[in-house]
Amino acid sequence: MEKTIDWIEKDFGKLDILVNNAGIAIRGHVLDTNESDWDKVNDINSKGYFLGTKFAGKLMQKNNFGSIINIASIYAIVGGTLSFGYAASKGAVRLMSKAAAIQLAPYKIRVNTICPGFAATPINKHYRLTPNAPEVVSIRESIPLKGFIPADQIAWGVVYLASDESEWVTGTDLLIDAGWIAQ
Amino acid sequence: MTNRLEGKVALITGSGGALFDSEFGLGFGGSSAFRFCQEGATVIVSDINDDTGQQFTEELREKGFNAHYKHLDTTNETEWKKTIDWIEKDFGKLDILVNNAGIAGRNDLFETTEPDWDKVNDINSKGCFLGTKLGGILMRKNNFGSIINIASMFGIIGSKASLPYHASKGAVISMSKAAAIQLAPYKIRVNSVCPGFAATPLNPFFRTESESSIVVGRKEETPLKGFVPADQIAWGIVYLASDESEWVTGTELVIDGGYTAQ
Repeated sequence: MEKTIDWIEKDFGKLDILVNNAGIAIRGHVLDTNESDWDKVNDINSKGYFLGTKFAGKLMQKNNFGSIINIASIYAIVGGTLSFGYAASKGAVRLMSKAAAIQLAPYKIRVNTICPGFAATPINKHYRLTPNAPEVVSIRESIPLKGFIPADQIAWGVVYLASDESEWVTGTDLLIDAGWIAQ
Repeated sequence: MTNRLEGKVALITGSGGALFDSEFGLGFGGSSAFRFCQEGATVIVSDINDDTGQQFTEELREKGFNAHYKHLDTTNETEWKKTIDWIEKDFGKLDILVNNAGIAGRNDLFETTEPDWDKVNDINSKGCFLGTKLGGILMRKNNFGSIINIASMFGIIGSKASLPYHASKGAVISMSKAAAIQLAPYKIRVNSVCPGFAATPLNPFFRTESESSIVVGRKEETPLKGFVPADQIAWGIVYLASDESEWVTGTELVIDGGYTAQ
């Protein structure tokens, strides 16, 4: 992370926007979650965002400007049957974003999360590969707008939070979940 | 001018209370009307202040925008019906409804009377219900729509400010979620926007009493140190109104300079 930020500073002179998006989905009931699964999902989904926020924040601080967008999840807000370490990692993202928003506000660096609902992305390829599987059908039916969220919708939310249209938006979560959490 | 709302018909309640050069600037409704126009929408400005409402609409038209004015007291179901019938007749559809009309309150709990409660809840909460119902009936015919309800960060957290105001804004957030679920089958989305402290015509004391301890305190308590410009709320509403948020429903967009994250 440090090397990347140094290179950005050297080659581009500044960093205005950081999207902490890298993540993995590990499914598993709490009683079946082993320590190595926990470490892996929390290292990537949670520690990775901390490092990004820290090193990008240092470069943004020099310019007194920046927007950091952390991709969390609906499972940062509610619990589910099939994910435990993942939920913990996304909950951590959500709260570290709020803490960072407060701590970086003096430098006019904004920090927000996006909480996607069930999205048909490469990480969830079974939504497309087996659309009629009972599990996939039941997830789709549980979504008020009846469908999986296109990745492009998440992209538009990220654009909004990255742009100056959201200059006064910080420390909050933008839910793009087709109404799932509202039920 | 871009085209994020091209071809869309939008009604914004309480959007005619100020003019472009008004002392306290445009409020959330007026700022949204302006941004909606810029993004290519047909905009219906509505208000109970007909003089400024008509004048503001004229200002928009002079800029070449497609703006119209309609008197609308949002607490009156008959007026809502008339307005929606007129929109259907003249424009054929309604794509976007912004339930923005609202009032503030600063009373201490023990000095709050029953009429105080009724007034703020009638305008802020019942007005929003009537709009959602009547606007929803027209949107349903088209299986399309986006309803944006202006709540407040005081619909999420408590404060020393007026208790009925908090209650009314909490109601707006909850009814938006219920409406989102109930209108999802018709592809009508319903979301709320929760502004933080904003220096709008509704809160003139933020400017007229800028040295007072309450105003300085509110500014200092906001992590980004200042009042949220009405235009920032307008941009949030544009996002929720546009197809960029096609899969966003039943949620709150908080635009508060970080206040509720603390």
